Amino acid sequence: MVNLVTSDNESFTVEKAVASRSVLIKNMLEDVGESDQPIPLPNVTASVLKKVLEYCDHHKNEPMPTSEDLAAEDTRKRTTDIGEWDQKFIQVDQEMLFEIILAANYLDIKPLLDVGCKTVANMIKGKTPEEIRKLFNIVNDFTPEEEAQIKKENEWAEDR
Amino acid sequence: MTDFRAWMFYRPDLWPYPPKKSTTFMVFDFTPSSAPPNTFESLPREIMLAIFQYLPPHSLITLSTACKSLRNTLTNATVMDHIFKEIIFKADHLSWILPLNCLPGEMERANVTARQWLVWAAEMAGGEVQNADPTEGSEKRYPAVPQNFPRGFRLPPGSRAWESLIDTDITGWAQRGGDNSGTVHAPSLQELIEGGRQDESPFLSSSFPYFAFVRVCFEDDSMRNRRRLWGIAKQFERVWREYRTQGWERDIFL
Repeated sequence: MVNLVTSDNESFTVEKAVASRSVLIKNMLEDVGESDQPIPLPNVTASVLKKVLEYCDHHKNEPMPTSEDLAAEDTRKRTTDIGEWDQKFIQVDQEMLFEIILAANYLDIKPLLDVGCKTVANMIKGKTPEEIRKLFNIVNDFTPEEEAQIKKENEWAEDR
Repeated sequence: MTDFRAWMFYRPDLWPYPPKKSTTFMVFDFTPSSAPPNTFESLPREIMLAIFQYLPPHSLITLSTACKSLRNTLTNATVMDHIFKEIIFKADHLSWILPLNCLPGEMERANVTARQWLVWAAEMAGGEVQNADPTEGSEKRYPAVPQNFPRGFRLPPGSRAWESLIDTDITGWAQRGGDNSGTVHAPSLQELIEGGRQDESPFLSSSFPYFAFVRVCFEDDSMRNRRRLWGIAKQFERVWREYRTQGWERDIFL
């Protein structure tokens, strides 16, 4: 078992197979060898780590991607398709979604990072500029004249 | 042409030549604010780049119109070329834009045009190109500019972070030339020649102007028809896959 300590000082004891979905933790465990020492995760809060561990637990039996797998994946076409379980898992509020993405990036859990990035991309797809502003709390700082110029400049990209 | 959809009768295998002028974005006054960024821009830049690469061109352009800060980021020439390269080669949205090996003569035709684009990129970056002959295969005569060309304009304040990000091992994109002052020097012919690889398709050259190329392809009648035909082929692919994986009560292919 592995003991993880979050930034808000909460402790989580999980199976090694679950914790090792994180390349960061896996490398740490390999470096320190068998040890009861807790692993501090100063960039992750308890509520986020709980979600991340839920993901890791569900995927614990899947083979870890090797460097060859990652290279092959790089040549494969990317889609924004997300598996059924992952879709349900990532149905969280925007703040939590961004926290999960940041945690996946920090803990080096590439499949989870991909799920998060795809989810954000899917949120943006097909939206108008106004809808995007509303979605991410963006203040429109263009003048109406500038907006008209941009609209004309971007006509080429419109779905026709 | 547009009104009568005559573009549907164009050959779908004629790639457009580069425009006479540079294809830069309009520049608006923008002062980076000291206020906290919006929720999207609070994400680290490498994550924002990863998200951009999942977006189709239309959504990417729409996102750039949300605010000046995002526009400043997304209209940076280096960022745009990087994202569009990723979209062309690793996503589905622009698969139609590249030539297909299985169609006789298509690769050769597309490569001739692509070399013209490399010459154009070099010219826009202020490099010299000597007697470029687009019918010849060697890139020695179609020298490539370093990838960070920002075609003759000053980099906006703060954009250096993006330049260095794209220069990382994560993306595998090599950056050469340029200095920290924000002004990029025009590359010499020697640099232009060294910037290109002799053994690759011109589409893979690190100096290929991906964004400008995509933009012109979107407006080109032949490419518009190619995109339409590609869409039809994709529909057939979906139907066939559904049939082969799920089957139907009635076999419509009989």
